[in-house]
Amino acid sequence: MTPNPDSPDAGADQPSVGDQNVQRLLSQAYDPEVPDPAFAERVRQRMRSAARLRREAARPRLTLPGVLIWAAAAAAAIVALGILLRGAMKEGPRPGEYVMESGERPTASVSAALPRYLVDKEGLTARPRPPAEPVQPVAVGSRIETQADQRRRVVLPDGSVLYVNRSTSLQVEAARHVRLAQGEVYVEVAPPKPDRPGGTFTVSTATRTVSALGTRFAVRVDSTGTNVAVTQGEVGVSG
Amino acid sequence: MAGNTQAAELLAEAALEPLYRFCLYRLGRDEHLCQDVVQETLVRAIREMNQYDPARSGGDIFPWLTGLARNEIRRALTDRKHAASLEALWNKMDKELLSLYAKLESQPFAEELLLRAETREMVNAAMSQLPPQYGRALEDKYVLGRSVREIAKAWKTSDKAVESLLSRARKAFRTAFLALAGNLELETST
Repeated sequence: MTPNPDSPDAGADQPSVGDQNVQRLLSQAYDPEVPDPAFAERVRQRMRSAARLRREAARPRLTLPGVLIWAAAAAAAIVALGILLRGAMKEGPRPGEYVMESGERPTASVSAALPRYLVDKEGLTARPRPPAEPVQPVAVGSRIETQADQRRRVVLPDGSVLYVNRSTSLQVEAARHVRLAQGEVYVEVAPPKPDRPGGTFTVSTATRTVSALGTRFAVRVDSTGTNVAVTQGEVGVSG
Repeated sequence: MAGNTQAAELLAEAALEPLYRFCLYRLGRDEHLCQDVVQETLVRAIREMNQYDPARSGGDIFPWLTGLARNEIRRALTDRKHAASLEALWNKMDKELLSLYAKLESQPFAEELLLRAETREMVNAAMSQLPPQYGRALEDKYVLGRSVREIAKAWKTSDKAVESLLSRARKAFRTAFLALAGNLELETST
């Protein structure tokens, strides 16, 4: 390849023989060696790996207070697990649990004596969890009352859920209407569906009516009157 | 840069080939040894990137890399009790050929001399001995055919600076080429 004629040095003094030879050598004979592509790929991989290691090494380490907090949390978790396991070991057989004739509960060492359906290749199988009973919604007109040491969770015919706190008395007057006489109820209002009754959900007290659609809120009645707390959405309060 | 795999990729892209050429003739054209040295140099560069100071080299990383490479070359040659000789290259050259190369300053080279494989080896070896900026300037001008003005624009410098650099680069090339033609030892240290 010849030098570009429009370069500023194109019209310079005639180059020496040495410079002319250099130019010709470089433009005609220079053919630099290229590394083997497989080697080049290996080097790239090693460089990426080194960069990753370096990035991981540069990550911030836990400080002493952080370590202490994590150690305390881990210790607390171990203690809690121990208490749970101890409680579980003291329990008698659970309903539906397989019990041997001697009254002992099965262990892996006696798995050979157990029915096949209780044993898999690794030893004992887990006891199957009994199917959860379907939740029956309370009927319209039901009265729900809780004692001082009692809470209840109730599903209404429209799918809304009531969390009835202690010492509460209420009546389900319609699919989406509850009358709260005393105590506290937290409501998760189900959104309207084609197969369920819709419309605004209302909670009435002696002095107020709280109306909401697809929201979550609590209503409490005590000696000071009616209090409303909304955790999601908006409610209307009248009266 | 440090810890960034994409940046490592870019460094490999930019530095692998020039570094390979830099090392090859300094290691007696031993390709396997050259591969070991280049790999170790680039991996070490990633690990020790916090030691690279762009301000010291005008943002050009290559001088720092060649410094690392020189250390690796020295170590490799010491480990193998290996001298950086170019026996294979010299074996191909007869005295007559070397005497022709030695007339670089005084006699225009014949076309057939430029086409010989030995000449290619001599040019490659001479180029590998030059400081990186000289090599790049000569490549831009005589291999890629760029004008002084284009090089100056690309390098963000003046035409005069490029002309001066090219003049020094040609002189350095002549010196290296003649040293090889005189069967002198290659530079293996700083």
